[in-house]
Amino acid sequence: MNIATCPFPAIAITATDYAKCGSTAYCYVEPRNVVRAAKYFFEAGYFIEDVCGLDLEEGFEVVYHFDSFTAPGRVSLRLVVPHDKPVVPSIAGVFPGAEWHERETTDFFGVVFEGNPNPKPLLLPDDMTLHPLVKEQKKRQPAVNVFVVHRLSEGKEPTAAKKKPADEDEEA
Amino acid sequence: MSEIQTGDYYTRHFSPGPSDDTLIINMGPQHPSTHGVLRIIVELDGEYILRCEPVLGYVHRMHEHMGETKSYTQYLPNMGRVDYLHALAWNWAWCGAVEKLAGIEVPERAQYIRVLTTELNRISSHLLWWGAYILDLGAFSPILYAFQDREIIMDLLQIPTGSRLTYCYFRFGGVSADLSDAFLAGLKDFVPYLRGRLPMYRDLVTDNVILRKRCEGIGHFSPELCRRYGATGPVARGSGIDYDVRRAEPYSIYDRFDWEVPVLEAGDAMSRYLIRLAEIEQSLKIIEQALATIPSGDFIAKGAPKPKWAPPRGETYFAVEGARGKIGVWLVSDGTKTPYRVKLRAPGYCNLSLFAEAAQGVLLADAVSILGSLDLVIPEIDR
Repeated sequence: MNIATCPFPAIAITATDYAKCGSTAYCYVEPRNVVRAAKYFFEAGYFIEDVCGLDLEEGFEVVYHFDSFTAPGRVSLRLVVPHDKPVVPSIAGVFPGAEWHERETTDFFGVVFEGNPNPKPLLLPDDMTLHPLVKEQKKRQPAVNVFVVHRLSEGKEPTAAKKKPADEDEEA
Repeated sequence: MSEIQTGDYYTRHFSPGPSDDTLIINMGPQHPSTHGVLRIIVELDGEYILRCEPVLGYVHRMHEHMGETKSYTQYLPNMGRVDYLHALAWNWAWCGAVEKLAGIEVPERAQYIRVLTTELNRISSHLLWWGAYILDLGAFSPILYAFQDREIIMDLLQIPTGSRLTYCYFRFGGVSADLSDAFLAGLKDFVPYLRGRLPMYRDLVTDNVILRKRCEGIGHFSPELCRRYGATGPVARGSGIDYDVRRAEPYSIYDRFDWEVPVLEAGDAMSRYLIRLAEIEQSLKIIEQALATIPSGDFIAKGAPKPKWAPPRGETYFAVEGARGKIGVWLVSDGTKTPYRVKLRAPGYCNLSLFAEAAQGVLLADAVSILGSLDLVIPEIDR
C-alpha cells in the first residue's frame, strides 16, 4: 500500500519495520475519512484487532489496528482529533466488533464516536464523568517525544511521510 | 404519583423490540454459567432469544491506567491478574512488548523455559475450561477429573514460579528462576501421564451422546462473523480459520518444533470443544520436544533491566497466542520510568463481542452452551 495507489484519502502512509514496531504500515487519515478507510480494510480481508486511544499534546490520537488471517501483517490506521472537540465517525457499521472498542475508548478518553449503535458506558459506571486515561496538561507529551518511526528504508525527513515506490512497501 | 425508577441504567436503556409479548430477563451477573460477573440482558420470546446485550465492567480494575502509574517492572504482577488461567501468556505478552521496544535479547535457555511453562499453563487453562464447560452443561464429575490433572500442573509450575495461579515468572530478558531438576523430571513424567488420560476424557465425555446433543450444531459461527468481530484463538480455529499467532506472527522459538494448528470447519460449539482438546495434545508435543532439546545456559540475559530502568522512547505492538486467542500489548514509551500508554488487547473481549449477534434466535439453554464454548474469563474481558 502506498499513498499514490491508496483507495481512500490518506494524509500519509509510512511503511514501517514490523520487527521493531509490530506494524507493517502507519496510515494517517482525516477523521472524516475513517469509515472509507475501514471499508477498504474490510474488503481487503482484514479483521479488527483493537481501537486504542492516546492522549498527546496535539490532541487525542485514535489508533485502529487491523490484521489479516491469511496474510499476517498489522496495519495501524491513525487519526488525531482535538481535545476540545473529540468527535470521530464510528466504524461499527463496517466492523461490528469495533462497537465495544469504541465504547471503551469513549469511557477512557471521552472521545465520541458518532454513529456508534449503542453508545453506552461499557467498562466504567454509567454515572462516571471522569475519563481516567486523559492526562493532565503538564504530563502530556507531543507526538515527537513518543513516536520513533522505524521506516523500512532510510528516510531523510523525520516528520511527514512521502510517497514511496511500491517495491519498498512489499518488503514487510 | 412520582416516577419510580425501576431497574438500573442498563435495563432502562435496553429498548425492547416491537412485540409486547416478550420477557426481558437478566442473566447474571451471578449466573454460574457466566464464570464470574458477566451480565447479559436478554429479551425472550418463549424460550428463544430475540435480542441480548452483554453488560461488562463488574470486575473492571483499569489495568491500563495502572500501567501508566507503575514502573515497567512493577507492572509485571498485574499480568497474572488480567487472565489468571493463562497468566504466563500475559507475562509473555508484556515482557515481549518491552523486550521488543528496548531490543533486549532473551537467552536460548530462557526461550525454552518460556515455551515449556507457557504451554504447560495452556494445558491447565484448557483443562479447567473443559471441566467447567461440562459443568455448565450439567455433568458434575468431569471437572473432578480435570482438577485432578490440573493439580499436577499447578504443583509443577509452583516449583519455578512460586505461585499456583497468578504467576509472575517472566522478567525482561528471561525468567526469574531456572528450572530445577525436580521440575524437569516431573514434567517428563507428566507428558505420558496426560496422554494416557486423554482417551479416558474422550470415552467419558467427548463421545457422550448427551454432550454431543448439547454441542453439535449449536452456536454456529461463520468465518465471516469471526472476522467482523475480530475473534481469534480456538473460537476462530473452530470456524475454519487457520490462524495461530505462534505461526502467523512467529515469536520466540516456536518455529523449531514440529506441531500442528488444529482447525475445524464446522463452527459449532462441538468444534471449539474438539479444538481445545486437540490443542492439549499439540502442547504436549511441543513440551516433549522442548524437554528433549533444552540447552544449558543463562535463564536471564546478562545486563537485564534493573527495577528502575527506563526503555527508549517509541512504540511497539507485540502479540502472543493465549489459551483464548490473540493477546496483544500496545506499548508507548516516552523514555521515562513509567509507560506513557499501555493497551491490552484481551482475546476474550473480542470473542464475547460476537455473542450478541450469534445468540439471536437460539434457545436460552443453548446460549449457556455457546457462552461456555467461548471460554470466558471475565477479569480478562473487563481488565
